[in-house]
Amino acid sequence: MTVTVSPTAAPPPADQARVGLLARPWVRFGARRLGRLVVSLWVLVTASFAMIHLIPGDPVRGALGPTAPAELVEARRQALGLNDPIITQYLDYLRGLVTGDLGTSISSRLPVAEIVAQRLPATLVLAVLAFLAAVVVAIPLGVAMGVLTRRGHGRRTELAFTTTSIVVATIPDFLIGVMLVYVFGVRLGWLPVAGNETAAAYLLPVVSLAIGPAAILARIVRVELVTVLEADFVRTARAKRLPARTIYLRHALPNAVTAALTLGGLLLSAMVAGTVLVENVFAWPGLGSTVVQSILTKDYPVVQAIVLVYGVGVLVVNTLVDLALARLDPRSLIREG
Amino acid sequence: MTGLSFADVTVRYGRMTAVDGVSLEVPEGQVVGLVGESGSGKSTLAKAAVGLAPLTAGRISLGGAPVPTRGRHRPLQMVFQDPYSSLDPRMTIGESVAEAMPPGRSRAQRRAEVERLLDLVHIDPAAASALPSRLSGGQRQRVALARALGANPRVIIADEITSALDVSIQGAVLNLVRELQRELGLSILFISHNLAVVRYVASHVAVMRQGRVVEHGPTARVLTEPSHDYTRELLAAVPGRTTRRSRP
Repeated sequence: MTVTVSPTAAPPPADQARVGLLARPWVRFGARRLGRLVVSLWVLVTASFAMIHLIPGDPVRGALGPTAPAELVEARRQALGLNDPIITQYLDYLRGLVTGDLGTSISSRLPVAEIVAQRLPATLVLAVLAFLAAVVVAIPLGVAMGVLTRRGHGRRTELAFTTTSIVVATIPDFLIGVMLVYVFGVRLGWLPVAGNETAAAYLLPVVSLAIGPAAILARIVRVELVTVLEADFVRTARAKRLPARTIYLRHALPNAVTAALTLGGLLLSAMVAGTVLVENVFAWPGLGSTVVQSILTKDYPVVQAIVLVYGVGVLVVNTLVDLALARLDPRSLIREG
Repeated sequence: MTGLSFADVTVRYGRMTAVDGVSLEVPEGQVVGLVGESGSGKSTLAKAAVGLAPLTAGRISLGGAPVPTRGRHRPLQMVFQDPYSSLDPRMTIGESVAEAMPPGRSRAQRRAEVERLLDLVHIDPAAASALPSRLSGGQRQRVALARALGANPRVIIADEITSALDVSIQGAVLNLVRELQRELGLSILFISHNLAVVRYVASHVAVMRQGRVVEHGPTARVLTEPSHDYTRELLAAVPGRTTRRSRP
């Protein structure tokens, strides 16, 4: 008697050859997800375009100040295309985006694309370093806590960990930044408090951005690990007499990190937004400090472009996380329908 | 030659005594059935053997020596009740089967061994690269058996391995257990609450109640001439059996 395995999730090979790549659920999911990204990007672009028209008053008058001569305001409006019909402006805006022309700063007269290109790397480095720091700290910490607090072990450890981590996680990152500046920069004088000229200058901004997400991520990893350690297949692994290290690293951890990855993606998007505040605390020469200055000087083309960059960043990160999840956990494909 | 041997084994959880001074032998090459109602301590006894339950008193030995708790030789393997959750959902079937294999083999040898084991339990060896979610319950339980066999064990403990399966599939898995036992000369401790199932596979049977073995002997004798009241009760409780009702 022979039992043949009948795959249910993937079509048989003959089928696959006929309809090609699209028959794979993962590819179908990826195509659908990318389609959704395009729609989201369009909404984002349109919203950032609408922003300049929704603000009360005349943006050019606002930027140049009440004392600016009317001819100058009119000339600048003309240069920015603000006197054209709205549909023409929208099409010009889209054409500009496609060709990489983000307009011109009202106050500095520099091309906005140049400002963004100059400021973006510092922000990216900050966000990526903070994310890596959070993951590198949170996963081992969460796993260690999960192992220590499994099945009613270490009640006190659990209480101490959950309390500390929730307190740390709820402090806003800019507040942590200010406290770190006060302690390590002002009181102790160990670390620079502003700029990004030296490697040491990275420490405080990265820590203040990473510490909250690391606490949240470690909590999730712990809870997931405790749940997985209760699962029957871990009991099977124990009954196999596998070494504890193998049980934790080969069986428990891969099954526990799926949820952590989902959350990690959300945290990365949140970190992109968090850079705005943290950059201002540390005078970090990135997009975040630029956008605040531009808001203060009412330099709308710059604000518009930076909002767009942040929005694209969040959308792209979310899409990448979804795709990675679909690859790692086929169940998420089913949930998507 | 002695197989798996329990000597005065006691397992206590706090003030609750789950297993109370049980002595039981699983001789080499034999299938011993262990029956009893839920909570009688059958599974706890099995878990104690593989180290999942703490031993309060007594000794469990394998071939006269204590059961090894570490190292790459794992002579005692257990198969669990629920085939849906007992396999790692992220490991391919081949990886699961290969994981507890004794060391000192090349990759190709391991792959060949996985294929041989899957073939032995009547699973298409091509399924080695699939995840357990692709398999039915009966197929997964076959994989679980192959996985246990992969460790090259002297004794297998089967804890209610058919009770989560449909009746028709139960029969197929039981036939497989009998076949494997005959072909490989395995010793099996076969735990079940189902007397018909035990009668089918076991040459000896032990009856447990409230943590103690109340009766023990060749299957044919215990099931036809039970000497303990509780065994009689169990037999009387089997649906479709109305004969030999001799309750006081």
